[in-house]
Amino acid sequence: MPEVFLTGVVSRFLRDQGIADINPLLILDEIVQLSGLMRRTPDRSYQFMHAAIQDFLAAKYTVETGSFFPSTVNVWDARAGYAACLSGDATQSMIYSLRHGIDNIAFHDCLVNGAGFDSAQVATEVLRVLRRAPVRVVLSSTQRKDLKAIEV
Amino acid sequence: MSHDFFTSARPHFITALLAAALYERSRDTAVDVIVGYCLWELQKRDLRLDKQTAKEIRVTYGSLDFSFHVHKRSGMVTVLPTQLLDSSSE
Repeated sequence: MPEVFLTGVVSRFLRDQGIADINPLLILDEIVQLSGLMRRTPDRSYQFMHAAIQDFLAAKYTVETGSFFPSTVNVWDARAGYAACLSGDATQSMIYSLRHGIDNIAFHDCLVNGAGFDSAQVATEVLRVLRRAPVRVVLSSTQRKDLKAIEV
Repeated sequence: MSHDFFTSARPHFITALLAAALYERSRDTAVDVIVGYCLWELQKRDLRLDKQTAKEIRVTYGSLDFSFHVHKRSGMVTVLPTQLLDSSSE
């Protein structure tokens, strides 16, 4: 993100909070030096330190602005997964994501993050997907001693 | 599809998967994989399923490498590997 864009965002935030006498660049300096959320590049752009933070915030923005529509998502990546989790009911997201493969990141994130979803609907869809497309299933013990694979 | 798929799943979803597979009333590879995985996961985590589901599995999968221990107080069933089968198992 270019610095001019971020200073604009910070200025707007400060204005909304009724704080007008602080240089937004100082706030950016503090974020970079103290929070560990972002870093400044030599060309004075800003990057999130971890893609996960960026994905989470992007997903949060998408959900809060009402612009997350599972049926229009093309890539079921971590960002889509976070959005599904934050949307309250991840059922449709999980069902749509299964169209892009059973092992997609978003579906996994919904399971791991304890997203709310209709178990029966999603389970039925998992079964349907397994039947429709050949999937390689890897079964392993907890110690991963005897790895077995089943072709479905 | 990796084992992570099932290890990440909450107990409620595992039992829902099992129910969806058994609801089919017929066996194919997809159903077998789901039932096998779910039972394996239930056994690994020491989770319980209801008695009726255990009966359905026993009828459909006679040669399964799992057995069921019925808890008399709760009526729920724990999945056991065959070698752990004891006199209290159904």
